[in-house]
Formats: sequence, structure tokens, C-alpha cells
Amino acid sequence: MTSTICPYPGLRPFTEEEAIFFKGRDLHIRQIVKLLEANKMAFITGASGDGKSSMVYAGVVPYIRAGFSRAKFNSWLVCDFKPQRNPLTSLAESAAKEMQLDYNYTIRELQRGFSALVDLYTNSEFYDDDNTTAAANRGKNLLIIADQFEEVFTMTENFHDGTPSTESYTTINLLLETVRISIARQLPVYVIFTMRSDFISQCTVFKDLPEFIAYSQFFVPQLKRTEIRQVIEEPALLAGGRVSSRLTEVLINNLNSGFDQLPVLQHALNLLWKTADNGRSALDLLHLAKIAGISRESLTAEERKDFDKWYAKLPYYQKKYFEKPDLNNVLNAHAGTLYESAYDHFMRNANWAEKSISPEESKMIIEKAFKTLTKIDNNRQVRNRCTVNEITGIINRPNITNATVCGVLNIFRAQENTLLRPFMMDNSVESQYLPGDTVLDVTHEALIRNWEMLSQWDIEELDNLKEYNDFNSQVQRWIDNGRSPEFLLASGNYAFFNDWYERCRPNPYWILKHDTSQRPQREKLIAATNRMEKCDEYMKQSHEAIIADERARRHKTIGILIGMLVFVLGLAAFSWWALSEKSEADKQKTLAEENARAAKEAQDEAQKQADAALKAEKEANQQRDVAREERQKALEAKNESDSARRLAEIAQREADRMRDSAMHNAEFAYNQKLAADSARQVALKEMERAQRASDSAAKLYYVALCNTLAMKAKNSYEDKSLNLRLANTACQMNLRGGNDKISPDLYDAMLFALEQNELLGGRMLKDAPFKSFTIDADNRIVTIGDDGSILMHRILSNGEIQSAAYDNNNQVAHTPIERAVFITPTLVAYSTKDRNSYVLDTYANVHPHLPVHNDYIQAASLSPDQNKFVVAYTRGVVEMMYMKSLDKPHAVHNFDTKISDIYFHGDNEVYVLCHNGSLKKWNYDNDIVSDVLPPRNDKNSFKMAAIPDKNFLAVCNSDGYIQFVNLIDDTPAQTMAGAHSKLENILYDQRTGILASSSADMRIALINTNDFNEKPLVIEEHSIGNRKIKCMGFNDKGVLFVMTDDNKMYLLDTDPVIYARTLFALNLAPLSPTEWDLILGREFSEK
Amino acid sequence: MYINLYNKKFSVFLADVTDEMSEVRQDLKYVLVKAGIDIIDGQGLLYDDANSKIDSADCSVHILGSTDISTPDTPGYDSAAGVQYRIAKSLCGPNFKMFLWNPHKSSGSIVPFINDIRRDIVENTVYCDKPSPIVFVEDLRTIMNVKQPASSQHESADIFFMYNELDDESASGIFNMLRDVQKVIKLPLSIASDLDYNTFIREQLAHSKIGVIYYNYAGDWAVPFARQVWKDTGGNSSNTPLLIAGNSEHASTDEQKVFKGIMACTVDEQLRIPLDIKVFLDKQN
Repeated sequence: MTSTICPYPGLRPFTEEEAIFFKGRDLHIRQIVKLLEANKMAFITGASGDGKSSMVYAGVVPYIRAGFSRAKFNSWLVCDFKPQRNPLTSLAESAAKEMQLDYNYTIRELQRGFSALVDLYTNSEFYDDDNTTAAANRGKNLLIIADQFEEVFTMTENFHDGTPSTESYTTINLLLETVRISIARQLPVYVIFTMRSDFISQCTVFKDLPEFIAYSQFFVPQLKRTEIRQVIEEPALLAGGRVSSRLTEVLINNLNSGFDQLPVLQHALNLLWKTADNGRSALDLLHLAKIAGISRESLTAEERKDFDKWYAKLPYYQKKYFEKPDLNNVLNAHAGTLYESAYDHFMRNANWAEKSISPEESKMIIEKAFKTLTKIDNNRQVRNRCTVNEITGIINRPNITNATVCGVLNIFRAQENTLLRPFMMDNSVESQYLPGDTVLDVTHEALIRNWEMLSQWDIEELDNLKEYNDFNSQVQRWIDNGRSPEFLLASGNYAFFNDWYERCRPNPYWILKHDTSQRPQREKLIAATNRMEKCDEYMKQSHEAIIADERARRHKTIGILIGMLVFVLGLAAFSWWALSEKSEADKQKTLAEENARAAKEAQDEAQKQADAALKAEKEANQQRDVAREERQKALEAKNESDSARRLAEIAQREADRMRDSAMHNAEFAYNQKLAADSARQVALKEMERAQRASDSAAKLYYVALCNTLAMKAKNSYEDKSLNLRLANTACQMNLRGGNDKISPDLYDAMLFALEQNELLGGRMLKDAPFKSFTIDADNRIVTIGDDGSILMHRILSNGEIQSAAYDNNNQVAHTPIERAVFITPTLVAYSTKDRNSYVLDTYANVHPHLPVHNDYIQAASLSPDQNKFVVAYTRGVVEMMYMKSLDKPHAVHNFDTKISDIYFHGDNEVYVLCHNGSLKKWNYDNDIVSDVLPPRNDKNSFKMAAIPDKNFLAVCNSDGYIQFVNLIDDTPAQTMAGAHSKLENILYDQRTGILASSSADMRIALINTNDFNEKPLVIEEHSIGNRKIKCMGFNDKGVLFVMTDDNKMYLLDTDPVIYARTLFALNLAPLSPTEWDLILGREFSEK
Repeated sequence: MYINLYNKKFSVFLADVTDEMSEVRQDLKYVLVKAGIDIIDGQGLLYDDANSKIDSADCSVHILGSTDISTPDTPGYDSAAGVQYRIAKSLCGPNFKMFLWNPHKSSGSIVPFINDIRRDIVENTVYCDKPSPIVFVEDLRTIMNVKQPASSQHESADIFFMYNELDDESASGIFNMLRDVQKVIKLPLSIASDLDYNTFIREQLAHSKIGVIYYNYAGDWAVPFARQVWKDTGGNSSNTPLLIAGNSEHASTDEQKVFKGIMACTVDEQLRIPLDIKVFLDKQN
């Protein structure tokens, strides 16, 4: 056996390329193809991990491509997409790519729904209605695959609170209508959906979808034992390998039924193949034991010896995975081993990244990344796609950059592991170091369910989220109550949440991950940042309040201590006082005894007096009886007065009650008045808001009308003035819509209208072809001709151009000029055919000779202080010299590669753009060259333009994109689409902030660097006579001069308002009602 | 949706068991009857009796318990379960399948015996450790119902020559040149045909020394077609090698890359293609 191709893809689905190894579903593939032939669609549903995508991509697609199904044409267009966060965009991208259409056109068409998709196909070159053999060979059948259709429901952008987004609705309308039309017109168009069956009930929210599902559903059956045997054995046989029968039986028996059956099996088979010397040995039980899928006791004695010898060499961390060997443990052991060895892999392979992390930090990065890449949704662990930037943001450590994150995670993306998407295709830096906006995704949810460590992390993450929600509600309560100190955290709660803060380290990206609202990502990030600031402030203020509270409590304790001290002192004083009182009492006692004796004597005397008193008492009794009678009379009088007082009190209480009731009523009335006032205020606000909405709607209507008119103005009419009037009316509508900016469409419409009426035509410069040109402050144009002549041109008031040869006593260009570059509008560096190079100052009239090289000048640049000059030759030599001594180079460096462009920056730095796309920085003082951008295998770079006021360098590439480089720290900034094809020229006008780039497809993009979010204006090819652009330049008014290869010069204003004014100045007649009806439709004219 | 009616009739030899498994055997017997499977009861049968009964069945079922039935017992004390196990094992082959059912989780001293059994599994032996007799019988019924493709009559040939009908003209020229020196069978493929190409090609290739997929204009079709044929006919394990032959005027060598070295291919001048095919055939001989 010599096979080396692994026929088992592992955890990822089979690709179309690997279809030759996809076995076990032959019967089901035929059934789906029959369904397509009969019904034009197949709605494939099934459980997670049962291979729906593989069955389509590796089963159905290769089967029909091979011609085993009946269809109109021999070949197929396969237009596949996943809904992701924007289903219509995904569909449009795929359709545009497959049918070779412009994307903007495609999305615009598809947004109209219904027959739009069918129309695109039937109008394309791939559909031929003839029934001839030639047509059958020329045409292509169309298969549309909506894979992972459940994303329509799982992504909050597509489906929120039970309501689908407009995009989702339009996409489904398009697909269903495509099926309907294909059936009715017998078109060779077919649609396949794949969706997890647990989302089937949610399909009812879409009109007609349930009927279509019932019409053509295919529920993926569970594989039977015989089919699982095919899955295991046949791919190995196809690749020239073999699986032992006993291994097959063990695998079949150890496979759990239910979720993840196939992914777990495919993953194990992939590892088994590699363990069996890439299929050179028959796959057997020993190999299964080596991937922790079966115990060593299951092996023969001889195999056990082999296993033990191998096991002894394993690192300690790997051995723990052999404690519970099982088929479901294989994935756990594999992922766990990668986790442990990621640091070594990173240190060994990521030479392009800074290696300033510890092994513990490497593990922390993996933990945070996988926590971010998964989430718990309805108590189920599911994947959660996110970008490299988001992961780095959540990790939030200064020493951990995107490069570190990519470097550590690469082991999971490697070809031999493929647990994380996108997979690493090779070992190139581009493949390893992903751009920050690259979306990472767990290859299959089986990994989440089978990697024990990841399950544990998810539980921790869920706890973190619960604690955050609890904390956040407290923060919100605090905010709702005017940030009152009473709602700050108490010390116990503070300690709890502070501990959580330390553990979880929440940050805006982490909050963003858990934001399930339907807002755009950018808005979510802003909201998360605000929320984080509030959380931090809440923690800080709680902490300060607790410290203040503790300080107050300490003061109180001190007060109590002082009080106690005073009390003790008081007690001591009291004791002293009591003792002295006792001594005094003793003295008093003695005195009392003496007094008692004296009292006895007095008592006797008193008895005598008592007898006398008895007598007096009798007299008193008589007096008392008289008094009692008097008292009885007085009592009766008192009772009468009490009754009168009680009546008065009742009357008083009744009066009080009446007063309370009146007060209550008054208060109620007052509250009612307040409520009414408040309601009136709300109503007023609502009215204002409604008015604003109405105004906005009106403005939107005018802007929409403006766009429609602009589109119409771009059509060709017999009456060309109609273009002008349409464009003019579009401008007026734009103004009425309150839009002070002019959209790219309107700009293009204006240019088209003016061009159609020959108000924009190019001016012929001179018959002789020229290489390059420049414009100085006096609108003086200097051109370098192909014949070596240097000409001056002036635009006369009648529009003609007057040209004259530059005269410098015949000292210039006595030999034909081979190559010339403009350094400033008045300064030209050029090489003659005999390889001599000069600098010519067209004002100062001097032209010093540059040092002689056997080469031509490729590029040149002047230092900001205009004292130094740097020049690059085509073969890679770069020289720096002072302007005062141009014949003596001050510094020289040979870059040994083809140079495209050069830029002098700061005092001593020169940026050198190489043809292979790399950008280098040369410090000529110490002759150090550093890399700013790496070389690109897939594209070249031709020109660059400095944007000095914003510290950017714009590099234009052959793929149509402009790469911005930050000149402060030499890091790549954003990229922007400059045009549809290869970019050839780029220049920047600092006065207007406009960056102009031209491309091979004869279009010019004008990018406003003051606002990168603004959509670039595009000058279409018709505005420059449909000719190739040779060179461009700005004058000091921001007017773009464009030279085309037919020697014509076009003056184009970068400020679209100028064109709008030009149209107004023409005093054009308004559109007649008939024209409105004919061109725009009746509904517009009525309005 | 396709539903298998499992209407193929077959008989099962239900082997005797050791005492502790007799109840399990009885339950299994009821389930087999309910599944409509013919049972040949092997209870108490030894040596010749057992041999003839097992031989008359399509497969046998052996229930594994806590006794080792794989090694011979003490002479004179042979259990029926052990004897029947060894007879069935010797008969195991393309026409006879042996099913081993281990319904209880093995532990203790029985584990080495079960491990021995599992290590000893060869082709046409099926081991199942699912505790439910219904699951076991479902598997058994599925395996025994696998249809052997009905083989139609195919002519033996040196070369099986396949092409798209779009290339009929140039293919006929090559076919005419080849058939003068070799026995060639041709198959033009049409998108409108009702023929079951998969089955036809699989069977005809089995009767041919080499298969040739030829394309002139139909390059878009030929590559996916060749891959599907390669997959359906056994890939690298197939006895009939495949050659994909294309006209260099209409095909670039890029097409060769998609085969990744698993299939032979030639891109040559139209006139040289018959010679390439002949050389390929001679190499196989």
C-alpha cells in the first residue's frame, strides 16, 4: 500500500474536490437528484452533523456535473451561498460571480424580488433557448444552493422577535419565485435548501415557504449499519488503503446514536489514517488505541508491547487523555493536545509575529478565543462567528495583538487539524497572519459538545454573563435614579462584583458579543463602549463610597470608645462619691438614733393632743356632710357641660372630615391637571416627531426621485437635451430632499448628460504622443512627448489650447527622452535614450546633470523642505542628493528589485514601493531598510500617493484596491476599493482632500480622504471618450486634468457642485407632464 | 422518499447459549419471529447435526454471555454453544454471515474473552453490543437485505471507450482506429438518455481491461464524469484502470491537476490519442 491522500476530511465537510471519497449516501443522492428533476427544488432537512452540506457539495453537485441527471444543458453553473448576516448580499455575490455580472447591478436587480433572479439568468450568456446541440454545449443549467438556511433564523440581523428582516424576506421571495417560474417555463433552474430540522416550525413566518417545503422536502435519513460500514471502509479502498474488519465493528459499535455521530466518526477516521502512516498500513485497533479511542486491554499482547513503547514517549499532558479511552474521547484528546502544544507551535512557526507571551498567556488566548467563538443559546452550546479584531479586543492586553492571536490559534487552523475556519492553506505569512476583519468559526459544533475543556469554559462564560446581567441591572438602577449614592454597591456586593471583574475582565468587545439586538455592528460597539464606561464609573464610585463609609464608621467607633472611657471615668468618680456618702450616712444614723429617743418623748405629748383632736373631728364631720351636698350639685352641673362639649367635638370632627375630603379632592384635581399637562407635552412631542418623520419621508421621496432621475439621465435618448434636463431636475430634487451632498450616481448622470451634449469634450493637445504632463499654478501644462520634446500649453479663453516648445537654448532633450517624471509642477526629472539623466526646472531654466547610471529614472521625490532630492532607477538603485549638488549622491542603496515608486518623508526617510507589492523604508543616514508591507504573490503595486496632511500613504494595487499605510507607525491601515480592475495611476490633491485613482477599465475613482465613509465618486469611461487614461493631474483649483491615449485632455471638476451650477446656468426647460409619464411613470408625475 | 420493505427472505440459525443467557435467547427468538425472519433453532445440537443445520441457514446468531465459547471445552464436556460457534466461524464467508451479540456490559473476568472475540473478527462477521434485541435485529435485517446488483450480460472487451455525444464525430474516428487492433466497446453519453449510466458503466468496466474517457470539446463534462466513474468503480482498488484522454487543442494541462495523481490522464494531439490509449493498454498487460 502506497496511498498518501487522506480520504477522510475530519471535522470539516467534504468539498466538491473530495467528492470522490464521499460514500454511504449513494441512494440518498439519487433520490435528491430525482426530486430536483421532478420538482425543480429540494428542501433538505436533518439533524445537526448528519452531513447535509457534504451530501449536496460532495454528492449531488458532482453527480449532476458528471451528466448522470437529465437536464437541458451539458454544463452547470452552481451558485451557492450561506445566508450569514446578510442573505440577499450573499446571494447577489454568488450570482454575480457565477453569471459574470457586475455586483452592483446584480444586487440592485435582486432587490426587486420575484422574477429578478430568473431574469438575470435567462438574459445571461449561459442561457440559450435553442434546442440545438451547439446550444446544449454553450448553455449552462443553473443550480442555486442555499446552504445552512437556518442562519435566516439564528442571526439576529435576519430574524428578531419573531419577525424576519426585509433582506431575508426578499431572498426567500426570490428563491421561491425562481422555483415557480422554472416549473412554469420548464427552465433548467434548480434550487436546493439545506436546513437543520429544528428550525422547520419557524419557516411558517414566511409566506408560501411551508407549501414549498411540503412539496419537495427531503429529510436526511440516519445511516444504517451497512451504510456506516461504507463510510468507514470504502474511502480507504478508493485511496488504495484498507480498514480491518475488527476496527470497523468496534467503530460501529462504539458510535453513539444521535448528534455528532458522523463528525465524530470522520474525525477519528482522519486521525486513524494519519496514525496508520497515512494509509500505508491497514487501519487497525492499534491505531485506534493510539488516538485514545480504545483501551490497551483490547489489543493483543504483541500490539500492547508496541503501544506501551509508544505511550512511554508521550508528553505528560497527553497521557491524561488515555485514562478514559473511547471513540467520543478522540476529539477531546485531539483538541486538548493542541491546546497544550499551541505555545510550542507558535514559537516554532510564527516567525512573523512578536513572541512576547508566556505559555500561560497562550492558553489564556485559546480559552478567550473559544469562549468568544461559542455561546449558549436556549441552553444549547452553539458556535458564534467573530473576527480576529473582536477576539483581540476581548482579550484586551497590551502585549497581545492580532498577530499573537493568529499565531497561537494557527495550530487549530492547520491543514492536519482543521478545527477552526478559515483553514490554513499553506505556510505563507498571508495564510498564517489573517487580516483583523477575518471571521473565525468553529468547524463543527461537535467540537463544542465533545471537547470537555470547552464545555467547561462555556459554563464559566454563561456564569459570567449571568453575573454581568445582574451587575448591569444594578448599574441601570443607579443611572435611572440620577446616579444617587444610595444605589451604589454595598461593600459585600462590591467585593463579589470586584472579584468577578478581575476574573472576567469585561470590556466593550465582550459586551458586544452578548448584545443580541438587531442594530448594526458599529452601533453595537459604540453602545458597548458607553456601557463599559458606565460600569467602570459605577465600580469606581461604589469603591469610593465604601471607603468613605468605612472612614465614617471608623470615626463612629472612635466616638464610642471615647464615650466608654468617659463612662468608666464617671463610674470611678461615682464610686468615690458613694463611699464618701456612706461615711456621711453613718454619721447621720447615729444622729437619727438620738433623734428617735427625742421623738418618743414627743409621742407621749402627741397622744394628749390626739384626744383633743377627736373632739375637733366630730365637729369637722358635720361640716363635711354640708360640703358633700354642695359637691353633688356641682357634679350635676359638670355633667351637663360635658355633654355640651362632646356635641361640640362631634361637630368639630365632622368639619375636619369635610375639610380633609375637600383637600383630597383638590389634590386629586391638581394631579389630574399635572397628568393632563404631561399628556399634552407628550402629544406635542409626538406631533413634532410626526412632523419630523413626515419631513424626512418627503426628503427621502425627493432623494429617491433624484436617484431615479439620475439613473434615467444615464440612458441614451434621441433628444440629447433630455439628458441635461433629467440631470438638472435630479439636482433640483436632490436640493429639495435637503441633501447638500451629491451622490456618485447623480455625479455620473451630470457628467454623462454634459458629455452627451458635448459640453465636456476633451481638447486635443497636440498630435505628437506624450509620456506625462503636469499643471502649475498658472494653469500652464507641461508635457514630455514620446519624441523627447518638452512642450508648454495654455488653455485660451475660447477653449483652444496653445502649445509651444520649451526653449532652453536647445540644451534640453538633444537626445530623445526615454522616461520622465514630474517631481513638482515645475520640476521634471528625465532620462534620455542614451541613459543620461537630468533635472529640469521649467521656471528657473536650469537643468543639471544627475550622476550617470546605465539605467533610466523610474521615480523621484523631493524632501518636504525642498532641499533634498531622491531618485529611483528601474533596476533598484535609489540615490539621495542635495539640490545644490545634484551631481554628487549623498547616499545610495541598491534594493535589487524592480521599483515602482518612491516618496521622500520627513528629514531622512524614503519610502520605496517595489513592483512585487512590498513597501520598504530607507533611512539613508544610517542606511537601514525596514519592511513596511510584505511582498504579495497575488498582486503587484504600481504607484503610490502621499497624503501628508493625514499622515497616510496610499498604494494602488493590481487587484483594484488601495492599501493605506499609516506614516506615524508604519502600520497598514484600511483598504478601499479604488476601481473594478487594475489600478494604474493615483494622485492626491491636498487643497480638496481628494484622492484620485484610475484603473485599466478606464474609470476614475475620487475618494474624499476627509471622510473615508463617504462613497467614492466614479467618473465612468464615457466621460473621457471611452479611452485609456495615460496620466492625470490636479491644478490649484482642484480641477482634475486627465490625458487619454488619443492625446486629448479632459478637465473634470472634483467638486460635483460645479456641474450642478453648470446645469442651472443653462436655463433648461422643465420636464413636460408627458415626459414625466413616459420616462418616470404616472405615479411620480401625480406627486 | 424511498422506503425499504425488507421483503427478501432469509433464514437465521439461532445458536444455543450457555445457561445464564437462556432467557435472553428466548426474548431474542420472539423478536426474530415478530420481524418475520425464519429461524432454525440450534438448541442442543452438536457436531454433525449442528453442521448441517448451520449450513442450511443464511446466517447464524450467537449470544455472548459470561462463558468463553471461543476455545474448545474440556473433551467430553463440549457445550452446544461452543461447538456451534466454532462451526459457524469456519463457514463464515461471502455466502454466510455470523452475528455475535453481546447484550450485557462486559466486566471482570469476561472482558479478556470478549476482547479476544472482537480481535478475532474477520470479514462477514458482525459484532453488536447494543442491549436492545430490537436494535440488534434491525441491524441484522438491514445487513441481510443488501441487494446484490443484478448483473446483466456484458461483453468482454479490451477497451471500454466512453465519451460525450457532443464529441461523437472525433470519438468515432478514434473508435474506428482502435477497433482494428483491439476489441473496443463504446458508450456515447447523452443528457437526454434514460439509461442508468452508473450501473451500466460499473458492470461493463468489470468486463474490460481498461476504461477510457475521451473528450474533445466536452472538457467541462469529462473531468467530473471521470471522477464519478472512478468513485463508483472502486478507485485505486479497482481492477480496471481508467485513462482520461483529451485533445490538446481544446484542453490545457490544468485538467490533469484535478486528478491529483489518482488517475492516469493524457492530453495530446488528436491524432496521437489512439496511440496513447494503446500504450496505456499495453502497460496494463
